Amino acid sequence: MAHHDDETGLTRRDFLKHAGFAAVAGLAGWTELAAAGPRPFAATHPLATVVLVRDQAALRPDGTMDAAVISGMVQKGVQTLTHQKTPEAAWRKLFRSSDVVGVKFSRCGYMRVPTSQEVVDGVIGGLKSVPISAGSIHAADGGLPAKDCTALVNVSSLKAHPLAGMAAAIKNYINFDPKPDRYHEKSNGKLPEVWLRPEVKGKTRLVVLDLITPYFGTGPQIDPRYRADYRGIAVATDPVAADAVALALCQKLRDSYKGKAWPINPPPFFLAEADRTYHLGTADPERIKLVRSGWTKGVLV
Amino acid sequence: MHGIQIITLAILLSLLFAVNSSAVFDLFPESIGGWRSAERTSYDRSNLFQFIDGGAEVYLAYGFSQAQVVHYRRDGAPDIVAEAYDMGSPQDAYGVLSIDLTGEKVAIGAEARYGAGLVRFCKGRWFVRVMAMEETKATRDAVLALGRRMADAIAEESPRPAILKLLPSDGLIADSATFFHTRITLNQLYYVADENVLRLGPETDAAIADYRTPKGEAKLVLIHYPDAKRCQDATSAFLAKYLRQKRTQPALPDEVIVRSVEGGRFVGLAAPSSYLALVFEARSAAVTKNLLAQARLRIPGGKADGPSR
Repeated sequence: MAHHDDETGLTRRDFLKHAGFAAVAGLAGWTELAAAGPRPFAATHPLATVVLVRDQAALRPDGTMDAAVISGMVQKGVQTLTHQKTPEAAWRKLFRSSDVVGVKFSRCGYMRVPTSQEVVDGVIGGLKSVPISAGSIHAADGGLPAKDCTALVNVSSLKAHPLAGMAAAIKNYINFDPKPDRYHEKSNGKLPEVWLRPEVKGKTRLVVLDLITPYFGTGPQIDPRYRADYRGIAVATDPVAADAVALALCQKLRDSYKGKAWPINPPPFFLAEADRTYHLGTADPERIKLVRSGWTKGVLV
Repeated sequence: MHGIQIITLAILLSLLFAVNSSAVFDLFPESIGGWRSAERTSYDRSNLFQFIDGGAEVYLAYGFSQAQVVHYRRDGAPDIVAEAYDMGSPQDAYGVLSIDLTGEKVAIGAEARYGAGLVRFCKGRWFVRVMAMEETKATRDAVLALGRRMADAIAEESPRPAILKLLPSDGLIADSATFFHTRITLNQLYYVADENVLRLGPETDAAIADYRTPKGEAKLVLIHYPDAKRCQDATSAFLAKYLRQKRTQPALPDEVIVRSVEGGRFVGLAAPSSYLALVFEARSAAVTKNLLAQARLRIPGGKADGPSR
């Protein structure tokens, strides 16, 4: 994006003028911004599909997660995404037995918004059904041997982030770079660049967003008031489309909590950049097909 | 300097450090309501990111110097984590708290908020968070009791940042004012620009607050610079890079500048002496001018009206 190399850098007015947030306009109702400027999207995919699966039983009455229910949500999501008759066939549509798969999740200890182990286990269960041997599945946050992997599954949580605006699938790969802090410069617009690292580029076959209890509040540390009881997961092959839906949800959760607009700050510029500059997928709501399945109460997107 | 003097100085410095370190530990009781302290870890400016990866900058944007984290455990009950941050001054301790002043007001320390198992408070130069991993009646009681014990261990006074008193009271939305120094905090609250166009830094005291106006809400940012020259530099940079004006000489001390921007909003500024007042998100030029006039009245030596451009 040309603005990043300008002396002046980005300002709020650039964000408004170029509709950097138009990615969420159609989903989050920011029509005012969408109408304000040219469409900032470059992706040419005919349509990206994001499958949202929710199940009220994902959380038990005591607030603990039901692993079997959540695994079922993961299988249902992958099956719906791939239009297959069985979960096993769905996973085989995306992976081969010969694959070495890295399951990249987010530990995020300080915020206490990690990818739920139940979601990670659901993904691993699906990979094993291909079948892929346990020895060919590497699940980790840091230290994942991406170079040795033939495929990656991005399994991330969703949280508002004090520096990036939002952290979900795209930001989940930040620690593939040994110097992740550099992506927080320049309004985080270069964050998608990490996806172009040789050991990472082109390997991501599946994105699974953990939306069981997403975090929509202020940082830097968790405030339990801003932890949503959403009981969902989202599944996609397009990380940008998945993040666009995540952003829409995060914004809606914030607005819903306050009863008025509570914009995400700083704006997650990286999302439009992931589409326009890095061509990782589409953030254009007109090119995103959101398929909803299951529990509808408070779905918001 | 003679060797013995250097050694003496080193001993004095190490004693001073030891006193400070022990002061941090002294805030935490051994037990509270059946919970007993377990792991203790400490952090300073060089390694806070190990505790708050990706979020340490929020504390470093204030005068943070060190933090102590203590886990409390009790069989059959959720853990409680207590964190004490030495923010360097009472003003900065309040600043961190003021990033989010929503929640239930509770009488702990100088100012405190509680919600869903987390109490946050400031007292003296300390900002403290005490959080239960799960909120129950018992953990709520323990969290609040632990917070009070820690607050009682702090004897320091808690003067508020002086700049907050300069915010106009008319229309000010309660608990919306945040005290800050740098653009990291400003952009977290209200994104203005990637570049430091307002020339903010550790030595600038600033506040941002929401105002209810006859035409919806607006934001007022008030910044106090170390001197008038830096204020003029910030004004010029803002005019050039945010308002994109070709004429970028500093605003006159009694001048008011109002411009319409995207989305039908108005931005305005006034820069009397070493203060810069900015209005964002106003729905009319009149609202912008009125808010700036109110701000100018409260700035030392300021007056409400001045030439407009």
